[in-house]
Amino acid sequence: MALLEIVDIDKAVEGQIILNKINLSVNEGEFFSLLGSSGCGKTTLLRLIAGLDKPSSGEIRLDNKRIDNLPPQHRPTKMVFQKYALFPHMTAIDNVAFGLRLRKLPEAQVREKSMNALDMFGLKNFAGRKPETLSGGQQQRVAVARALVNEPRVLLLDEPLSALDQKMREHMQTELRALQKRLGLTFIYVTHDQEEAMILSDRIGVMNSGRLEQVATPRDLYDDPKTFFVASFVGQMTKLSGQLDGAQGEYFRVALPNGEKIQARKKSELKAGGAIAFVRPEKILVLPSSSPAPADQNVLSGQISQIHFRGDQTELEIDCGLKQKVSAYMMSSDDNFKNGQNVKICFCPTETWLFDEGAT
Amino acid sequence: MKLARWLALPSLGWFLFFILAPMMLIFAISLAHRGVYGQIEWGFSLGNYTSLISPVILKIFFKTICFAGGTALACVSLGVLAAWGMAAAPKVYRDLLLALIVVPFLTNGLIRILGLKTFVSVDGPLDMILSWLHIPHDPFSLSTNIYLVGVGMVTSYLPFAVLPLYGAFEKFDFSLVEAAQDLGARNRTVLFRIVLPVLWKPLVGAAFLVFIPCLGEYLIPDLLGGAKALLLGNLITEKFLKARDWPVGSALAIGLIFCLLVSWVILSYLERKRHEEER
Repeated sequence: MALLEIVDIDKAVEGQIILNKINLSVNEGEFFSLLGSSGCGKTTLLRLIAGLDKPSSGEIRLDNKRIDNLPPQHRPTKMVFQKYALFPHMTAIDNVAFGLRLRKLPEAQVREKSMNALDMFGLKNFAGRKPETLSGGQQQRVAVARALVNEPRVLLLDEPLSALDQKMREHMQTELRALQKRLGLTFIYVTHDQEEAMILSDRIGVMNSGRLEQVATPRDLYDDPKTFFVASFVGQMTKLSGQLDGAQGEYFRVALPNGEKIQARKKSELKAGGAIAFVRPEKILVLPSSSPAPADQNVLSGQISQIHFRGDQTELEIDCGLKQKVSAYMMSSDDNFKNGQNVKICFCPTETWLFDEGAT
Repeated sequence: MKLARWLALPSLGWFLFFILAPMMLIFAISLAHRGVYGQIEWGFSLGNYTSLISPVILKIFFKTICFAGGTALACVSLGVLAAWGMAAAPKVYRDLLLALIVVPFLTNGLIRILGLKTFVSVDGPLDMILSWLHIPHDPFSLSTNIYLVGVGMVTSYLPFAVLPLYGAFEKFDFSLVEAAQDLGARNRTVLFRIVLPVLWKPLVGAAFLVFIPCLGEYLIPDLLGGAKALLLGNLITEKFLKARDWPVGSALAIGLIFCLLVSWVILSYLERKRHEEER
């Protein structure tokens, strides 16, 4: 059931459109991420939900009640800020207790609740410490504890892990996901890190230039991108530009500049002329040029120009005489190729997505 | 790096010769006597200091501290609002607002005070406006009074508070305000429990920047206050220039420095205690 509904939200600042007709529903108990590059409007949308900014038009409803006209103090949402925004003159426990004290709860209850919240994050022994004496990870936990202790209906998180190092970030990702599952609380999480969004989220909303491009589960987003932007933004892609050269149902033939032709599945409305085919690098099979190619596959000939060893995976860059080099991933254990070797690359037409060139 | 250590030497030398040495001289004079013709008769006596403990001088001391404290409080209160407004303003307007604060500050202080004096003087613009509106007033007490001294002091010293506070507000993390609001705080709570405690040090710094020169101010009370607004600065000037009693004037000056040192020690003690409590 939809807990939070965002209806036709627009936001413009000094004539510049920041958000454009955003419509979104977030379900109860869902971990929902807003994913996009910087400046796409994801943080603005989060701030509108928190009440820290006002929309130019549209409605925000929580539990079927309109909340966009309420000040932040009266919204049942709490926010974890990007740089945590812990009050530097207060100890960890006073930070956590701040919201409870404003609600005029008895002091004994405030202390008990705050201590329990800190204990939940293993920070009981740090209760009397000032934020500046805590590590980044500890500060982040205090910030989450401070928001959660107020029992919000929705927890809003604005890139809370971006200031942490890789190891700590991975650890906190696991901790946040486990916490969300345990509490059954609705999280709305803003990030520019697609891997983070994929790991954490039940659903992801991909944003681009103030628009919500696609809302889907991480797998659907990866396997079935609906727009050119989502296809280019989520995961790695090899792009093959060419000219449309006939169609058969939803499959189109594309003539590449090197004279070879491939089949690709239509993903957006196509106009006659230029089109771009997308293939995930891990879906490309690389074979020695002498090996027979599997049937019903797109096959291109090329020469290996670069080999990038990435530990478990190896990336091959193959020059097929096109504008861009074709990138293919394979398990490092299967890599028997050498630089300059002539190869054949094969990929399935069903996994080759075709977008109109104008969609860029 | 070794060379860098010597870079402070010129200013240190300057300080020793032109500030510390005259101060020592003033201290020595404060222990001397006034001769019959106003000359200094060297000696060692605390008589000048004991002469300060008189109801008249203590009253002037108290009035001066109240005036300086009130001016500091008014400047810091107005300064907080101005600095906050400037720091929160769009970047394009910030320089303009800063210029509005700084440009009057660049004009001569005496000119500013004389300008204010002309504005409130007998037959001056304020007098004319009040007469035109038929508001009963006494033009003579309007042109020199104790409140006018306060207005003049705040006008002159406001930039001393605004500029350091603007620096502090510019670096202030405004997401703290948003975090407090998000946790349920109203504007008053945000101001008194977040903004002012976080900016405690710059606030005290700004208050002292106003308070210290105000303690020794003599021009503004002289021009705007008349005889009724005798502050410590005026008394010292009177002792040095009119009564030619340099020893008592010096004792007054040293007494003033002593007051400042005491307030600084109290403040440092309070700050240290606050730190210990927070730990």
